[in-house]
Amino acid sequence: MDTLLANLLTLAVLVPLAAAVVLALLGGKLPGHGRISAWVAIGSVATAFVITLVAAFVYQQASTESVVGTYYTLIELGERSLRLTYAVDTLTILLFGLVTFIATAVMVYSTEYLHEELAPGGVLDPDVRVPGHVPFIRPGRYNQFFATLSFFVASMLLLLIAGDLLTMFVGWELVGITSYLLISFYRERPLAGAAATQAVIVNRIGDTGFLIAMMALWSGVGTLSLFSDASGSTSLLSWAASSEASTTLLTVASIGLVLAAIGKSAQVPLYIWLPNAMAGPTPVSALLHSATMVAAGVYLLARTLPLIPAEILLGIAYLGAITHIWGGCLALAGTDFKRVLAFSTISQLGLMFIGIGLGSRDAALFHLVTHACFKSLLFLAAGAVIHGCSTGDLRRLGGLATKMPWTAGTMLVGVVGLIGLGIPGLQFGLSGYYSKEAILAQAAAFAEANPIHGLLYYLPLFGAGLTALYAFRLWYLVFWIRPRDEGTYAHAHPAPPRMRAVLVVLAAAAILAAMPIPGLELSVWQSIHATAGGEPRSAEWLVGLSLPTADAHHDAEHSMVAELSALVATVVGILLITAVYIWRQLDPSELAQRFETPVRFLRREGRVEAFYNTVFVAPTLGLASGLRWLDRHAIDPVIHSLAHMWIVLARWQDVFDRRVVDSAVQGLSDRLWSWGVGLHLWQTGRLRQYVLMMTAATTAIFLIATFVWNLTRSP
Amino acid sequence: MNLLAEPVGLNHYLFVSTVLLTCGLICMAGKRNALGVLMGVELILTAANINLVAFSNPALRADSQLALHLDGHIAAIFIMVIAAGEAAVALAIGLNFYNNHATIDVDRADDLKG
Repeated sequence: MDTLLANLLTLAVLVPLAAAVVLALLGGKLPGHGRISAWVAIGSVATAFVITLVAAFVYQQASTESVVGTYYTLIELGERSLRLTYAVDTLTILLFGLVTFIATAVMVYSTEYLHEELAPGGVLDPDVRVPGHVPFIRPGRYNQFFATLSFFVASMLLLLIAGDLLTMFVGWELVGITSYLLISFYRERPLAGAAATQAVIVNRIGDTGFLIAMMALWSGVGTLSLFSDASGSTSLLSWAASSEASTTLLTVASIGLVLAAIGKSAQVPLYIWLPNAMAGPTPVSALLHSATMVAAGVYLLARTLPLIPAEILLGIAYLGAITHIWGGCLALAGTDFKRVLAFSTISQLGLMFIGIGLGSRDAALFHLVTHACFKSLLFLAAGAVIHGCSTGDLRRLGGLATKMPWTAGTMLVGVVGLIGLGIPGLQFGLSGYYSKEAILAQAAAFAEANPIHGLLYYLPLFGAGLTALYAFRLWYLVFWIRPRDEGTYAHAHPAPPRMRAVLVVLAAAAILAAMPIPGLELSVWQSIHATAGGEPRSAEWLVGLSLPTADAHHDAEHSMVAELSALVATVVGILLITAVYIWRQLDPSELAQRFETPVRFLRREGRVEAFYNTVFVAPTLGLASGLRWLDRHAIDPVIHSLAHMWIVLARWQDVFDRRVVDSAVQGLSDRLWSWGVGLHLWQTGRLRQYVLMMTAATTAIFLIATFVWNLTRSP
Repeated sequence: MNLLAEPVGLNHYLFVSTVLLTCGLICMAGKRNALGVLMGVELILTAANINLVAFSNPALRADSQLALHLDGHIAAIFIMVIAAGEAAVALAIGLNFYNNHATIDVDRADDLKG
């Protein structure tokens, strides 16, 4: 049973990979103008989803805790080893199901969204500026999109099935590369390449942390496996639980891992790549940059929670709180549909970090799952609007509820899910309600245990209100208020049926994700809770810091407090924003004028990118050009003069060769020649001379034979 | 050793053949006429003959076992036969040469000059 489970899930990883390879190699030659490549990709991901369901069933029947095994051993040096391993438990299966489900939905959606890539005459891209104002037409890249997207799904699944940090890192990097490829899909547009490069570079900063953590852990512990296998070998989690774990090593490793998570999950200060990543196609934003890839950081911290000292957890919580608020503020002032959603993602990721930092991995992961559902829904709705109105600028949209009712309805479900509306005490609400409540309850327990950190309760609460504000602002601006631009409104057309169907399916998922499956006594929350390894460490040097247990949010007292306060904050937010846009009690432009400075600050997004440019990018570029100057004016002349010196030496050598060596050789040969010629003189042809010479020679021989021979003969 | 004071021995014969050899050499080297050169060749062969006959006489040697006995005489006769044949061939060469060059002067025969 154990190996069946592992084999099933490995198959689920390999099927999209195979599809990606097939599409990459054969995509251009498939019949049907490439339309079939989408269905190959969808088929592979749907197959992976079905395999995951089968695996879930098998797992339920087998009732094992977890399955751990090795794919391949890279090095084994005595106690130390480096292996590529897999680890399957409830969480793995759950996230497999989530990723494949959303990936299938997004891919089906993209068949319509990227329909223009199939046009036989090429794609007309209005955002590309060509000198001469000629419209820019390029060949379609339909097949490439689906190949890369399948490869992304395979990489993400590899990351999830990984049982050790090395395999996870491989998956981590692969999703980064596919993210790069997908963000730069519209590569002739000026911003696409820059955004993709920025994403890779900022993620790289985080990856340095990952590498440092891996190196420290491998040298300190001897293995990178997170889980012990059946034979009870050392693993990182077992080492962390034992008393041999040194605080220094734990701190170093966890700082590295936290840095990696900050880069991948777009926390302050490494979040700037995510809004710019919206330069990619909307389905990419829906899949990667809201639901799956950016959650990888949270997943990493969730898996390695037992390694993180409590003080660092506190830091994570504060960082998450800052990110939550900052993201919310930027979303409130945003003017671009997708950018607002990107900031919302950053804010919600901050909330997940708060959950982890407060010691409740389960709440954070629960929020990850629900957030994936409704954020991808929101992004796909945004895509429907952009597809229908050919613009995503909030200043030009408005009143689309009548023209795009399905999109408006499903997006409303997504917005309500994001806000987390629900009725306390009755345990009824959308999925976002449950996950947010879990985090807030944990925060309440934490604030009670450590009153000095009470801010960690009030900030998420404020953030909940902020979320309500910006979410409903977004919905009102797009769908409810009078259209701002008549031209856009006139040309708007509703989404095609396939896109609408996907939106409905995701809306259903957003509503139902938190609910238990009837008859099976199984729910997302229970699956997460059943996964082992969720207990945080207790504080060591920061005395007075006591983390509530991971179960604290189940306390009736805390959860009731959390639910009520969350409800109050949310309702206040909704009422406030409704007052501004619907009841016209407050005029938005007047508000903008009253709070001019903060609004301008937020509109410019705090000028964070410009700050990074001045502090990090410009000096690096300056250093690069300085080194280039050095190379060209200091190092090159040395090389050139060396080359010249060699040329001069070569010339001298040539002269020496010709004058001295050649003349010696030539002279020798001339002398030999003249001697040879000289012998001609002897050959006169005259008989009498020959006779005399013969006589002389014979006489000489006889004389020599007589006298010299006589001397050498022994007496 | 005064050859005129001793009884006639080996040295006298050798002296005579040396004189003949020298004459033959001078004749070969000094004559411009091809027939004269041939006569010189004959003289040299004669000198060799005399040497052979002298060495074949056991009475002329201190140790009579070392003499050639009859082998020397037979060798001398062989040489005479060969000399005759060689003279015929040499005359034929000379005739050919005269047919080609219209002269018998050996100094003109430098066609092999290199």
